[in-house]
Amino acid sequence: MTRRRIALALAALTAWVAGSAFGSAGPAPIAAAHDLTLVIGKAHADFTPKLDGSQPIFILTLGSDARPGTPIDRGLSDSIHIVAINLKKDRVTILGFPRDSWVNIPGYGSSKINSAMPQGGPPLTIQTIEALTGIKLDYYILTSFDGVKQAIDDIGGLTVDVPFAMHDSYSKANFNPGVQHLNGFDVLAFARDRHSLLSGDFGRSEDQGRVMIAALAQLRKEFAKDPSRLLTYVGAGMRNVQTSMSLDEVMSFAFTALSFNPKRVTNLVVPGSTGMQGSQSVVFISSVASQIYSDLANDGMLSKKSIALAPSPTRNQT
Amino acid sequence: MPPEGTPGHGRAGRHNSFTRRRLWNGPRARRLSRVLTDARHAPPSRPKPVVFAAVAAGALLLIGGIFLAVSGKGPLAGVVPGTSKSPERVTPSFDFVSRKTSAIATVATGSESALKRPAQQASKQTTAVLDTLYTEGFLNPDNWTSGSYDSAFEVFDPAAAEQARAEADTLTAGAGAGATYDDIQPGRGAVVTNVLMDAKGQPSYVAAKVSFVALGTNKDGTTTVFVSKGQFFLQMVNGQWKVVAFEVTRNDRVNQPEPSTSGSGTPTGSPS
Repeated sequence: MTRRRIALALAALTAWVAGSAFGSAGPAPIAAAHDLTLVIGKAHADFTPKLDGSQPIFILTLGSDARPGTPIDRGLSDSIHIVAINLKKDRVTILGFPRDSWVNIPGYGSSKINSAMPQGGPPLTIQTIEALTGIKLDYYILTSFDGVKQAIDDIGGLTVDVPFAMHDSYSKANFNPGVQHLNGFDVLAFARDRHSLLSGDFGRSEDQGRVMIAALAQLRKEFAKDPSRLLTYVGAGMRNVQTSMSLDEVMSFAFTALSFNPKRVTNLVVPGSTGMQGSQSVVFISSVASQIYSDLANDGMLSKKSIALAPSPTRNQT
Repeated sequence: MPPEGTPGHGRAGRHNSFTRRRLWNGPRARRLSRVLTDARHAPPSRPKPVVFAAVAAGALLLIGGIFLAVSGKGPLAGVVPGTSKSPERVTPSFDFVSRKTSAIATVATGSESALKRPAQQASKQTTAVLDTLYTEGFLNPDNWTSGSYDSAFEVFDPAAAEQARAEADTLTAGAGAGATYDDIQPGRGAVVTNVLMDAKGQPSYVAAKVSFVALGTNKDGTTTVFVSKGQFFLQMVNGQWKVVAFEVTRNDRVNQPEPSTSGSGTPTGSPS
């Protein structure tokens, strides 16, 4: 009986092995009708290079009022901002200067700050700002009316949160408050309008900072959906500006900018008051601005105390 | 020795082959022949269980031999209908298909058509780099069987390579691929490139949007569809295009038989 059991067991084993063997020798089912398809792993990997360093980076951004036929670096710089970047903390501070600020232009005496460029181009403007603030500027970026319009159109428009109603026949600004997607013409109008602002040129400078923040927010949003948009932004920017940055540096800044939270960008305008200098209407920069300059020069960021020295010029605008 | 024709005699003959060979040509061979003849006239006896065992073992050996011959690397693999020969351990050929190339100028002046040719050239060169990345990352059996993908990471610049190694399970077939798959074959792959031109009209950066599919044959009989989509930024570094930034998503699928028909495990070579 024992032998018979062994024999039966062997026969059963033989049949099982044979069945398995011939079964597995055939082609494996790849996607039979009754197969289960399971998603076994959704994973993500990414890397973008990022500038690092202990020293802040200061970039002077200039907007020229040069009309067609005039070189943009010989127009009046009606938009002037220092963009300070703290790479360690991924923080950005924008500090605007009213175009009519009465300052010393090295080699030319006191004059409106925007007149430095027609007299000596971006280099003299840089010298003027450095002398005023004590901040060593690393790069400059200069654009024009047409440059702003074209660059914005090249990226497909810009979504801007218009903070208050703006209706101005000079700049052609005609906006109700709220988030809206603007084309190049409208963005330029938004950035130029000062007549419908209570704080005039101070408020306009702050609005220009708002445009920069809106561009940063949109870049990050679009990059998240389609990283190749970064090249579209860089191309649109480079075609419409004059800059001391190389293309590699622009790309490095562009990659680095992706880590800046637009909601944490500080947007200030140097405090001051309007007055007359001879027959000219000018802005006298407040003496407290020197505290802002030295704070910013330190690490590219401003303390709450410094920020309090320069309240938003449009805070009372409705 | 027991007398001829008795059970004891036959048992002695079976268990001593040396004695049988010696008897074969001698006088006793004739006696043995007679015994066998007599046995034919003996009443039929019931087959003993041990005979079943011998037949079963023989069948087992035969089936095993057939199985080995027709499967895997056996000599009959692929010859017998319904069988397939496992691919040899060679790297399958793979090339991304270029769907579209766009040039992005960084200066306002100049004609777009002048940028087209260098942009296409850059697209071709960078696509070749990505061919290498995916071939070495998924298809080279030396890499996926060992779980080591050094040759894939050579396409990255040093900073990106460090992160790529840390994300190897997403960028390659995975460290455990050798234990999971029997074979990996390429499916379709497509690339769309945007080329950023410098002020002189030369390609400077390339953003390549890729989609890649491959099919892994799992050791447990299931199959894995590798799906990798993403974008790579490449920059010309010392005369070579290098990946300087990337963003890749893996979304693999396993085609698995219904649980009632057979069990299967989840491949361990999948991205974590």
